[in-house]
Amino acid sequence: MKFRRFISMSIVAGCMLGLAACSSTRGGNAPVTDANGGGPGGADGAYAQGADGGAGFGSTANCNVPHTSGFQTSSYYFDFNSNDIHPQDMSSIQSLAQSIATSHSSIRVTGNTDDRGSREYNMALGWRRANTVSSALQQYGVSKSQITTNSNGAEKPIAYGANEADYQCNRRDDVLYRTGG
Amino acid sequence: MRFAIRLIVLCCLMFNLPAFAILNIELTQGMQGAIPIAVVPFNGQPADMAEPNNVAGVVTHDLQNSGRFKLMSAGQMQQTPANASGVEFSYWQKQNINDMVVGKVTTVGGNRYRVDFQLLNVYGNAASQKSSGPAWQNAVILDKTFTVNSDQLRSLAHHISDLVYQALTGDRGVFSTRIAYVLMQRTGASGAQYVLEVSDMDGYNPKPLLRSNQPIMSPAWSPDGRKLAYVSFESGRPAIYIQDVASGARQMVSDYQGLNSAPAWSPDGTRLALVLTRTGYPKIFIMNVADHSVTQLTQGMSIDTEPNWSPDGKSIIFTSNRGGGPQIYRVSLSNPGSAQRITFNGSYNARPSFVPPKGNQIVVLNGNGNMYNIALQDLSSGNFTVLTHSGKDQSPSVAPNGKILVYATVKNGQGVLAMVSTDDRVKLVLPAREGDVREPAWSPFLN
Repeated sequence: MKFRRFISMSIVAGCMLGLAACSSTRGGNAPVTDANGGGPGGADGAYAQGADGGAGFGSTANCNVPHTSGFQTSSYYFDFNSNDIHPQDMSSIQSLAQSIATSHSSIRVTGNTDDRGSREYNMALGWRRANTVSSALQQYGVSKSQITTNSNGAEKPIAYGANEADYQCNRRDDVLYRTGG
Repeated sequence: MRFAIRLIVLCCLMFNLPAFAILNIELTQGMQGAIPIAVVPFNGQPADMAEPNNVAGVVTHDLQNSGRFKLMSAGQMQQTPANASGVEFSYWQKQNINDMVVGKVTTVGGNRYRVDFQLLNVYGNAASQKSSGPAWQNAVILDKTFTVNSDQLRSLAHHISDLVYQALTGDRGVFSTRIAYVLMQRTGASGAQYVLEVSDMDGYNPKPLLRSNQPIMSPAWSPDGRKLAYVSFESGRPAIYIQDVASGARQMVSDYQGLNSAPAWSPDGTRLALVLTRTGYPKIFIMNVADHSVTQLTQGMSIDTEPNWSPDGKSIIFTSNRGGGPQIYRVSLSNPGSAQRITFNGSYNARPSFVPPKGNQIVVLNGNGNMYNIALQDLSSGNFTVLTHSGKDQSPSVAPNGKILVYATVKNGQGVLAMVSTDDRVKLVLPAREGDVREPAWSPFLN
């Protein structure tokens, strides 16, 4: 366990040093699973770098979004207590939608919130965030049947500080989709 | 090491001995004008008042932690009478106490103990004669005898605390109630273990009901105290389960696509209010517990969540952002279109619950700027009192006597439980020995 953790941290450290390859496709045809799914500690090795830079979709924020093996993740960020998409993200969502619509692959949109306020309200807010991006993707041609929406609320933070930068990292949607055709 | 601790916990559970507490309870603010009282070590029990089965020690601890009593230290007592006839009242009057608890524990064979206790008013012996017997009889407020097994001594002590508390304050005690909570421990670089636990309200006898590497949320006690409904993400997404507390048997009752959230039992225990996204939006539904059928209660495109039933079962309060930010609304079950906003203090009010038994007050999670605290609102006067002040407070749950509530807060970076009396005069914290503790739910009266 400790050794695996060391490996995982090494991967993270390597990526942070700017090894862009980390963010590109990781092989395998794993089914869509929750990023934290599997047995206890089973996902240790899966956490590499945020995929923000990898695919060219998603808004830029310096957040360590977990990578899921075999998938790309595009992340979109929200203001506090809001489920409105940032206007500057719309062109990225449009490009992503066109790519997904062409590939006909299934995708998962998961909403997250920062940990301020009520847990159950945040669960609902995360759901609304996921639905907003899902609706935008549909508007740009993705079929509703391709999309599964989900909410983690505030339950799966990726940043733990009580500061705006960390809150911002947690207020986001992750769109998980297969790489390649 | 962790395995060893688990093994110890497991052994304690298997043999039904009182396990050590995951939570400790510490009074941080007592009440002005607390009632001065002496709990005399019981005859026949060891002098170590901290021993888990020491009846007088547990009663002392309970009354102390209620914040409504000022306890005389056992070390200062130069006399240790076991019953009223042996009390030298003038000595106790000089100690500036009003009342005293005396008693004795006697082995009656096997594993059985007889416990006698009396609650005495120290000045009562001087009152006018109400009987022809000895004067000390007039000092006796309570006089009871119980016979229990050794593993029931601690719960008997809580029962005695309840009796003393009610006799002296007029309010029903909650020392025999329990709390459910979720313990979260990080594992590895990114994983976590979540444990749904139930313990006595003072943190003793923690019993795990569910372990998962996915989040567990929103435990809710059935009105008879026998079952817990909760949300578990064990399948990768939220579903609602009902689990029998004594046997551990459980059943999944709601696994619709999307959210299955925030279960709340009706006062008669036949229905569950919950949140589903069957319409695409988080809405309140009512489930018939017997057949799991659901009917939609609230409509529209807003977030509606965190339902809580009025004590008469006729209306539900819930959090909604239909007016912009989250606020509390009240809806009558017989007129679901009639939801009325009832909170107006601050831009954020959520997680509402009625204060029992009357339900003329509610507690909420109140957000003000970046501060999230627990607040109390009187429904008739509208008076709004912020009860906690850390700015990181969540998940209030009111004790069944309506006098105190438990909530989740953060202390030194660790998630812990804390308590505050609904009159804002008594404050307690329950630091955890390990992990983050959250999502507390106070049980109903269990006896």
